[in-house]
Amino acid sequence: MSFTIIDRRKSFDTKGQANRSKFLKRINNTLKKHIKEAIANAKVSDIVNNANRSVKIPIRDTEEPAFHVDQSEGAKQFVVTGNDQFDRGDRIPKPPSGGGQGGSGSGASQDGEGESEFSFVLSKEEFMDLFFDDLQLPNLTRKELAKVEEETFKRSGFTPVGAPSRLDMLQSMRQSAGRRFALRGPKRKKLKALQQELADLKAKLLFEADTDEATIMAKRIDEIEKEIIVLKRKLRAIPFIDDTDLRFRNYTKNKQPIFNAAMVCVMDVSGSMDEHKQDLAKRFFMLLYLFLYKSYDSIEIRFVRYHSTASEVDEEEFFYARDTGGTVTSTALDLAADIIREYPRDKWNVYVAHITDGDNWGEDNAVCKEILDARILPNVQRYFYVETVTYDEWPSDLIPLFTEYEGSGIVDIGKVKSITDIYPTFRGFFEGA
Amino acid sequence: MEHKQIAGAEWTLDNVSYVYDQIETIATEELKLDVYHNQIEVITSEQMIDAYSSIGMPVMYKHWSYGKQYVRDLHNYQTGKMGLAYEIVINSNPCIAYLMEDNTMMMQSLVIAHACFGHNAFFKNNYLFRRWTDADNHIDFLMYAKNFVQECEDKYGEEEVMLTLDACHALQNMAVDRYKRPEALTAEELEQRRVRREKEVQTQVNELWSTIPGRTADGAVKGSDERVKFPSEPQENILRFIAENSPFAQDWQRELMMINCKIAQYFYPQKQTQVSNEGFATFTHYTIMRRLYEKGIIGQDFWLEFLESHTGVINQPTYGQFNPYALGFNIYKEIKRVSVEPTEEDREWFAGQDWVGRGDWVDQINNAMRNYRDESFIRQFLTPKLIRDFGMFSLLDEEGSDELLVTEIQDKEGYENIREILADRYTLANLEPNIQVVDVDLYDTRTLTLRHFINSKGQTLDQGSARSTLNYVKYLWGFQVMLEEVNVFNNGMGEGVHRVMGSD
Repeated sequence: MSFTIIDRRKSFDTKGQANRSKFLKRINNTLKKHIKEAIANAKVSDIVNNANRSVKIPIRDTEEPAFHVDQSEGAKQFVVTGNDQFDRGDRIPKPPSGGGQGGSGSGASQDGEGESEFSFVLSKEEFMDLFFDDLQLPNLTRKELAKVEEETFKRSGFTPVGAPSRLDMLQSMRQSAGRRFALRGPKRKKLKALQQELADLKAKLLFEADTDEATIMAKRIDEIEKEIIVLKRKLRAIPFIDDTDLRFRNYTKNKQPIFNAAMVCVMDVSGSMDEHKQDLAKRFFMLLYLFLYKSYDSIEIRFVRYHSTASEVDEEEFFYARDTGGTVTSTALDLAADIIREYPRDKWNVYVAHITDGDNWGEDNAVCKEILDARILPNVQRYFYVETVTYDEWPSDLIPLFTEYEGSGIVDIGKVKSITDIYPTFRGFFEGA
Repeated sequence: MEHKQIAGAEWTLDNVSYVYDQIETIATEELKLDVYHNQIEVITSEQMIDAYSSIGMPVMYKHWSYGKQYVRDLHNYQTGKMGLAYEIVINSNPCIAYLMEDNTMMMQSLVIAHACFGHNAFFKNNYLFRRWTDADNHIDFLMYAKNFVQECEDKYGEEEVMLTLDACHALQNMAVDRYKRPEALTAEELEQRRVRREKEVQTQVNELWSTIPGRTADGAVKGSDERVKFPSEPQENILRFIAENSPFAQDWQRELMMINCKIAQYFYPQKQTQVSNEGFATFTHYTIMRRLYEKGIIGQDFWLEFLESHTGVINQPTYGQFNPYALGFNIYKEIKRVSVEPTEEDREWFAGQDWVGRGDWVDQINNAMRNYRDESFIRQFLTPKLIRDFGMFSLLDEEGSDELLVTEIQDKEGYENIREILADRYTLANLEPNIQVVDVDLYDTRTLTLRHFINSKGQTLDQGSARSTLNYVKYLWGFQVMLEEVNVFNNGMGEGVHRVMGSD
């Protein structure tokens, strides 16, 4: 009796994935809640780096109940192995959480027994889909934000004419083979027939003496031989490759919209920004980053910290450096404007996210206004101004300046006082497109 | 006869083919194994995890619980907490076994011996499997089930179908007719039967629930002054009962329930033969590999690699739960030993049994494999020597006590009791609660009453899960469901109804 062997490695099984999506659908609400909590409590760097996407959910949401007895009830006897010291009547303290239970039954295994949480990992896309799900950001903002188009070349078949560098050997050889078959075919057939006839005649001639028949046959043999020579010559003359065989790769131009984005993060780290406000700032930046990352193919982020002077820093320093000082906002705007110059508007969607507590040095507002009007606002898609508020009634220094731009469609103003304000503010920026 | 020796870690189709032939020779000629045709499928490790997620079946309908399993397995595998089983084998004809592409040549040989011959022979010959599973048609049936579920999802919505399946899964331990043999039907025949049944059941249900005098399905007379008892006897296959008698369940829901009954039936033997099945397959692979080594078909490097893997598989942790591979393998080894070279103690223990010392161990092994289930397997073949080798001892865990009492140890007084206690742990009746349908109120509230017959240990049902499950039953039944827990044993709890629970 032989056996059958089947190689299934190439076939695409989707059983696991299909079951997995059903599972994710079922726990959708729990997942969303959990992710929001995870984001709220997580370290900023973790989320920005998307390092930790492991999700823990309480087991009761994925419960598969069945009728089973309460194992803690009743007197149970069971057998274990490895006795090297005990005798009848000995008493052994129970190991914690019933660890020493022996005699495993082969009965129905109860799902989730002894576990209170169920942990697994989401892919990046799933994670962000869930997180941004009810904010409905991607669709809304895609409409608003300007599209930049790019021309790319796309392959589209073959043409008989083209540059030598685009010659496709395989296609050309195919054509050549086809042509040769077509041209050779009938001739070959004829050749074969003639050769057969020739052989027959020659064989017959052997047995014929000098009769009339023989003469006719001999003449015919002559003819045939001449024809064969001609045919063979013709066959040889069929070129292996001809100009008409050549094929060249064809390209067509394709316009593709590209979404390229650059974000300039400007954070006020002056003395007036305390721990809490800094935390708020970081969370907001994190959200923005994630959102833009999701909508755009490539996103560049530049970080600017400022107090009385401004400096461009890397991500690490942006979130964790500790230097501080007074507040001169124009230095930041100046630096930001310089950075923006590196991203020409025809290719880049530029954003500025500016978070501050609103304090500014005396007459600096006028300078700020100048820079904004001349160098920043004309070159950006959006300028997000977010103020960390301490006292609602007390207007900050910068607020009057930015309020002037309200309604322009370029500047968005938001105020946050606590973590719970961050989402609504963020949502506020992107609603009502 | 000179045999070619295979060597090297990489496997090739040629080598696999050659080794298969050699293994088959030993298995059929020396071990007298009778097997289904083998279908070997080479898969990647991702596909192996995939296979887990549909409870090992090559075809299965989709359900979120399998997704949960998949996600958990994938996570554990990727974080190194779990290795992949090196084999999955399906009880079907042909017998399907998966070989992972990453296995070494030695592992592939092992899998072939273990799965293609060990498990295969067990599936084909063990009496429980012969009675309960339909190896020829099961895969076909699963195809039918999968398509049917898909159709239902398209027609009636994923949500509805999911709820119905959830409820069926909750009742899967109460979905078996313990006295009937499954039918062998092709996919078309199944479809025809479904259509026929739809009509029949609908008639039956209409009659049952009509208030016109007549008879119920099991012959009781309705409409008389006396309240008719339906069902006339307690029914243990709760899922089937609901499928056939629920007043307003949709046809497609009834069919889903019947599908689940059939699947439950298919898996019914597996729960009760884990020790014997794994033990037999392990014993088979061990014997075969050893013969391959003796014949020079595998060399010392292979043999060493094999031993390393084998010892891992049959390792029994001290004080720990029983490893079915360890227990089963060793019992089979004992059968061979007792058959060939029994000691005085063995003769006394197996007094009156002819096979002791008769030497026909191959037949005895086959007999043990065919005619026993785990509890009877242990009761029949566990030896004192094995009890001593394992250092088995029994503990008593009383409710409310924070100590375990040692009740028996591995000495002459203890052997029989230890055997009893161990066998008890593999007795299905002790592990699953005995719950049956005892009453349906045909006239008034249409309440379905279930009764839990409390076991001799006095264990009642775990309330939380029972309540959730009751609500699932209610969903399928359509009306209120009551669950009474009744004590009939003399276990200190007092006779009669102990507790009553209702669905929400």
